Amino acid sequence: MQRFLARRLVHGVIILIGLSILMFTLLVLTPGDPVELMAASNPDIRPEDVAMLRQYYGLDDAMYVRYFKWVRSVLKGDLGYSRTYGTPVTKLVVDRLRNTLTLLATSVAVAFTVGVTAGVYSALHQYSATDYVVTVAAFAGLAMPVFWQGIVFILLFAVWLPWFPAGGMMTPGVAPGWPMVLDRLWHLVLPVSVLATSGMASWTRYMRSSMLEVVRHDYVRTARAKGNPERVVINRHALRNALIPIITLIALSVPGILNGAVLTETVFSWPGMGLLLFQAVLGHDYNVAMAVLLFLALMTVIFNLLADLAYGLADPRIRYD
Amino acid sequence: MTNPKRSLLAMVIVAALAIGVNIPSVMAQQSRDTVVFGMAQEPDCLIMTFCSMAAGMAVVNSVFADMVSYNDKWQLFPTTVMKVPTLKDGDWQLLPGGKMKVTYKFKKGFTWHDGKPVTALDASWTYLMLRNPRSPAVTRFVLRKIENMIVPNAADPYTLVVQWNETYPFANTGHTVYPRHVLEREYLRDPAGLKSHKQARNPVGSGPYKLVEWVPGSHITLEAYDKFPEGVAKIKKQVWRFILDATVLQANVIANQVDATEINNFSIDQMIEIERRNPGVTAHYTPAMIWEHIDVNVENEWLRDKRVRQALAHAINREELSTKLFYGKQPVAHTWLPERHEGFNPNVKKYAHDPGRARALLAEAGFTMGPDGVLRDSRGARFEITIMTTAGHAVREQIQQIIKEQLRAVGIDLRIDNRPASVLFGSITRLRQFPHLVMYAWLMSPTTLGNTFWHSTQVPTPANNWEGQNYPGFRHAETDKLIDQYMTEIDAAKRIALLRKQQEIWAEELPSIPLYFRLHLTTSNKKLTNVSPTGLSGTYINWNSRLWEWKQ
Repeated sequence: MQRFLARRLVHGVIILIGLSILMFTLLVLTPGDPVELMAASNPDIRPEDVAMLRQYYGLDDAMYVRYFKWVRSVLKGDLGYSRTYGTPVTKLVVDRLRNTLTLLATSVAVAFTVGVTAGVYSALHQYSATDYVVTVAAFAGLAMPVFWQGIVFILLFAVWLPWFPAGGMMTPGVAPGWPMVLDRLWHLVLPVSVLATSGMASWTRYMRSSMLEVVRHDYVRTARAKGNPERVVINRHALRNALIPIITLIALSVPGILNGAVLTETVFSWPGMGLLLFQAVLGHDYNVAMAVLLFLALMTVIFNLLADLAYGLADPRIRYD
Repeated sequence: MTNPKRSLLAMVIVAALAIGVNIPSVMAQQSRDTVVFGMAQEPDCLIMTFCSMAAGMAVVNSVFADMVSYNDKWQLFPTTVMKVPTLKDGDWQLLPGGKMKVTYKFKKGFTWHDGKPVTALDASWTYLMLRNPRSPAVTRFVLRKIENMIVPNAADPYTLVVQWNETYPFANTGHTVYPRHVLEREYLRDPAGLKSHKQARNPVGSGPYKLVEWVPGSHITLEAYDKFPEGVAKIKKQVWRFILDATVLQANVIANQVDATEINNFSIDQMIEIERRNPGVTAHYTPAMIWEHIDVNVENEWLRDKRVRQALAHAINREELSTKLFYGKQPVAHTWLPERHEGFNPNVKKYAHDPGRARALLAEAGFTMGPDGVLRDSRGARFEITIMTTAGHAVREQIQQIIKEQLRAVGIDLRIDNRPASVLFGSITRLRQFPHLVMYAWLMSPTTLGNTFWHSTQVPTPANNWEGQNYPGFRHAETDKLIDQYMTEIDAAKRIALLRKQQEIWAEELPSIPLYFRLHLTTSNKKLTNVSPTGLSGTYINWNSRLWEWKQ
């Protein structure tokens, strides 16, 4: 187990180094840079101004020099300064991370609750009308692109039926305490519905097939034969075993949901890491973009590792080598 | 006995009702003393000489009071100074050797938001700070024309004298002023660090509103400054929300979740949809100085012949573009200066849609029709040209398709090759890498005189280190002479006459094909009074927001 963990951690570090080189190269090779953007929008900028600004922002160095400078400061725990916001990237990312985690945790909780419930119900009522409705809804949920669904939800539930706000995270000036908590919940409804959809849909499908497989096993038949009520058979014997693969699946899905947050946050103007990444890439704010991308990569590596570990813990037949 | 599940359900229903009912009413109450602006950008900072985003300038319009500003009639008016200097009054003097002296008197009573007075000393210090090459100023275009800014009498900190080292026709438009007492310590320590100074995100301003909070990625809240000497703003708060997606911003306007929009990236279609869906919103279509056009590479072997450029103009149906795509709201351009600019010439040569005339001009230029319906030059080469523009810009891409059909009708095969905005403006135009045509817009101001667009010294080349914005490569001796004259002509009437003459020549030579003038599109709630957008970049819808009121 320890050897396995150590090996996976070394792999994780190598992957992160490789990804950081790849991401840095791609960002720098993206046509244009912040000074070119300024020059394009301002007819008064002269070449000497451009040269001075390029020097000021450190854009004169070769790409590998810039990369090693960035690595050196990251190793010292300094993610640099945001060119756009003029603040330390660490502070910026931590502030936004809180908002993203709120969105992410709520979405995972909603997706898990609804997905598992619908999957179990669908499996226990196989080939019923409800099963077909759940199946069709799950496929529709899997097929809908996040950005499109976001805009449709805004039109439906903020414009035609003005029930929820069309974006944002808070009503500015709302009183602290309960009004603020309710206000945040009110703003969470639409982005969470959108972000949770794909997880909800895929977990419903997985849960349905996992449950269908488990209910056919001998131990479930035995539990029934012992005279246990159906509720106990399902909850205690079938559901617990059916959930094992789903738990590892959730760990694998979190990075995907986190990536989906980039689009959801952009559509709903939710001030999280995704929106920050979008703005940073558009504004050529390299330090911020690198920090967010590295965080996403780190989360992917960590959750993949957790999935492997969880799988072993949940299924005693798995041995780490 | 109560069932715990039912109790839980009841609590959930009560909470849902509380969310659904209470919060909209909270918002409705707050909107009476608040105006919520929506923007499709978030500012990068609020010291505008170090930043580049228009969104910052819009917020700054509320937070800082300028020395001199433009109103909705595009006239200058004084804010922190007693008057706009003029030659007639003698506070703008022409000196021997082409130099000038302009004197401003600051009003007493203007204070920074921390209570310290705004004086001429702040203005002269700001000038010195921005002149320092180590400060991260984005441009020093006007500053380089100034020799010094001084406060001549220590006992009178309200008089500012600006000494110009060359004549400049817009020397009375005021200057940037920042609070010396806030910035000087950091400036002396490290001028390059000023962009990271807290003033950049939490400025001590001098305008009718002061900054209360900036929640990154979400909004900025401003509050009326109770010591603003021209009168305290009538609406207590301004909230500037950042909604980056234009469709989502549009939904917010329709749902009345924002009261006004600026820098909204709306299309004409979206504006019409807003008007249709929410009769409580006024859609403002304000004439602006945004000139949409196609630059022609006049160094190309075919396009160097002005008859070919004129044929292109005759072949494109610009009236139809304006009518069909913009419902006639965005007027056809016949020259490069918009109608509301002082130098606009309505009597330039105009190129009506006339495919017959286009074919005749192309025949004169030596083209003959090939068997495939595409013209051939004298050497037998197919007349194929490429047009470039910003990829993903729906309107421009639509126009390209229309133009392609129209040029095909006169025998020109148009190829489309679009690039992202950062590439198009970062290298394609700047380094003149477009082979034939490139479509984009220039954002101009009342002080724009086009010297960087049309003077032959402004053709970017490796020899001049790619300086200038004369991307067509237009070189015309008489135009150069006229530009040199009007750039230093102080007399408005003479300057206008020279500008008009330049446009006559320009319309004959046609280094660019003028398409249309874009409108400045903004929206506001009909219950907000005194809203009057200017259509000028740099002066946004909130330029007079101190006077806005909610109609009862």
